[in-house]
Amino acid sequence: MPSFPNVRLASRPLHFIYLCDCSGSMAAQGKMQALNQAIRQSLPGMARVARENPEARVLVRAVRFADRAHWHIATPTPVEELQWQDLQAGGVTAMGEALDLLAEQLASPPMEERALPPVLVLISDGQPTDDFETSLGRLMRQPWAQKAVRLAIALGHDADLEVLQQFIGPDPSSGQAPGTVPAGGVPAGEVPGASGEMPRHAVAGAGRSDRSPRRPLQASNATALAQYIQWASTAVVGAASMPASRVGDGQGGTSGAGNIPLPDLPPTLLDPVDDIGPVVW
Amino acid sequence: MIACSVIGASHRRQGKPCQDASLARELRSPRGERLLLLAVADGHGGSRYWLSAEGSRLACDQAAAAVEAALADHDLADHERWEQLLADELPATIQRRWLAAVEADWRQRAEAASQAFSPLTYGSTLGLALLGPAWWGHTGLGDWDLVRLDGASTVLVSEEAELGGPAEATASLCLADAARRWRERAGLVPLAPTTPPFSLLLSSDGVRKSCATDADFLSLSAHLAELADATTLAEGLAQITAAGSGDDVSVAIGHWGHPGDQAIGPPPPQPSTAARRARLAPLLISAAALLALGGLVAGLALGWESLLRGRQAQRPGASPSAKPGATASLSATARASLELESRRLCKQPQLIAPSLAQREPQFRDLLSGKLLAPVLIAAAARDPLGALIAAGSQQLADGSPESALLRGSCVELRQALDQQWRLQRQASGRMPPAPQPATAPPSRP
Repeated sequence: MPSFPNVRLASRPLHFIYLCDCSGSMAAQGKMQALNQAIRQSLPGMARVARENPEARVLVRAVRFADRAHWHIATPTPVEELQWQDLQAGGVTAMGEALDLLAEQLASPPMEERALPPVLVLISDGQPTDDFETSLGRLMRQPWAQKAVRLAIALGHDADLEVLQQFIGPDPSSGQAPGTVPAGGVPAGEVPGASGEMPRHAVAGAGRSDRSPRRPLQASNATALAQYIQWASTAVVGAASMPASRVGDGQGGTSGAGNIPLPDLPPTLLDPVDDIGPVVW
Repeated sequence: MIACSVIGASHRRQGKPCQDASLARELRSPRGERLLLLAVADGHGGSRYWLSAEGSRLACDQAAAAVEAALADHDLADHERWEQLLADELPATIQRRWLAAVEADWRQRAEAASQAFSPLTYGSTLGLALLGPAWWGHTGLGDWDLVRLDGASTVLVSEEAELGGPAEATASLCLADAARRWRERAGLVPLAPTTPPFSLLLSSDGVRKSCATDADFLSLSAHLAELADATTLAEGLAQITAAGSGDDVSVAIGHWGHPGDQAIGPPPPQPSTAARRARLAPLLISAAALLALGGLVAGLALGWESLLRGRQAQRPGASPSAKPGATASLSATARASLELESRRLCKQPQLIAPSLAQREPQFRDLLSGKLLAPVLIAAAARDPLGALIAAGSQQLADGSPESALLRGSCVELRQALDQQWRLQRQASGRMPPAPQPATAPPSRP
């Protein structure tokens, strides 16, 4: 067996970053408590996926935003070492400032040359109260933000879906302008809420042609929220841990939409507008 | 030369095939010219590219066939032609051949009955490096890397430019405008016989992505380039993917100027027809002398020798008996090559003596007349040091443009040349003891 002295071989870091709305409205109807619980319960599954994909180093961080945005977990933390500290609700919705914090960390450096596409999960129940669009523009100028898998979870019916869609990015299959949300739900089996590639069965022709998987996930209750968080932290992390190279057209696009092929949602979450359990939000 | 592809650790775990392919092959032209071809191809691996393992294999095969055909048609000495070939014609040919090959493969599959053919299914990158006696070049498209290594440095000479947009995106043979994209990765670098030995290491992206930084990648390349057998290389690559990216990994390694059968190196100096005749003359004379025992052929042989001597006498400095004072016309290309080589050596005076010491045969043959100074000088573009040595030869006149050029060079070079000429003359018994420095001409041997 040859040896390679003075060469650091390394698995590729996979940065997973939560952006959590902690505005006052999150205190209502147990949303904050449900979010804390969902994230905490997802950690063992996320750690299992990380163990199954040793070529990726899953590193978790979190931003909280209310009157101001702050790093809740500032240090990229290996998932198996992560201990979730509960978020507290109170204040307005400085979502734009949260994106500014994120943009700083997605610059190269501090991002590593060989990082895997980061996974960014924005969770909100309301509307930004600061200059979201300017901050989003700054964020999206970072190449790592463009390469990221951007997911959004809308808590309840007051969440601003257009803002969340802007964060995910335009849905090319909707035929609508960026920032607008197509009406209706997502056909069974498709992947909503992900800036990822069309799922396999959708490519094969299933579903309605005017629907898109790249839309905010709408969680109407604690159960749905937990399942979305679980899906993002396991299935999506698994997919992002072993990305396949794909064809780039040299114009900043690919021959297929999205950054990485994403797995389907679990069967109970086939349609993001379906209610799962009692509607409480 | 050596090439190896190893399945990625994560692909092995998922039961996927290795979607990389690679080759290192020596090609020979009908004229006997040798060319080393290195290739790596990386199938895309996503579900929509489900036959990319075939795509990468066919990419290497078709590239080898296309380069071999080009070698049959084009002299390796024609650098400009090969530069064009690498940038334009080979890409178009390989692209066409690959498309035909993957479509033929598709037609043999059961899926062809129900699905339309799409080259996307076979999507792959392709990187090529070519090592000839007097140049090396590269071409291709996609996220492969090419590193050049010699004793002094390890340099990343070609990598894919950032495409922008989504992650893990790369140019591919399956793109409609693929042939156009090769030009960005094409290049040709001329070599001189004085070029120190070096190696080229071509690798798929899984190797670089397994390293913490680019500095680690270059260090790893240096280690890999020293591996001599396929088994050790395969073990090393398995180690790299397991500790690194988990992706399939491929490398192809070729050497230039190294000892060994498989390395390629500079061409031997090509003397002119007159010089070859001059070199053959003693043999002809000997043979004729033997035949002369019969009494009839001796006269003819002597006549031939006289004929040769007469011809050589018409060429300045063309024989050991050529008188000092002969001149050679100096073309602009030769002058530029001589000046460039002179400047190169004068910038690195520590290289002068070792470089000249390696050229002992040229000094000796110039002294004996087996080599003609004008011939070496005419080939200055290919062997600038040989031309520089010839410029100091007594075959040329003191006032020749070559010797004038030499007098304008740095003192270190002039002294080293003087010293080498003295040594060679002493060794050949053609020279009286070296003159005292005070009386020695400043720049002539």
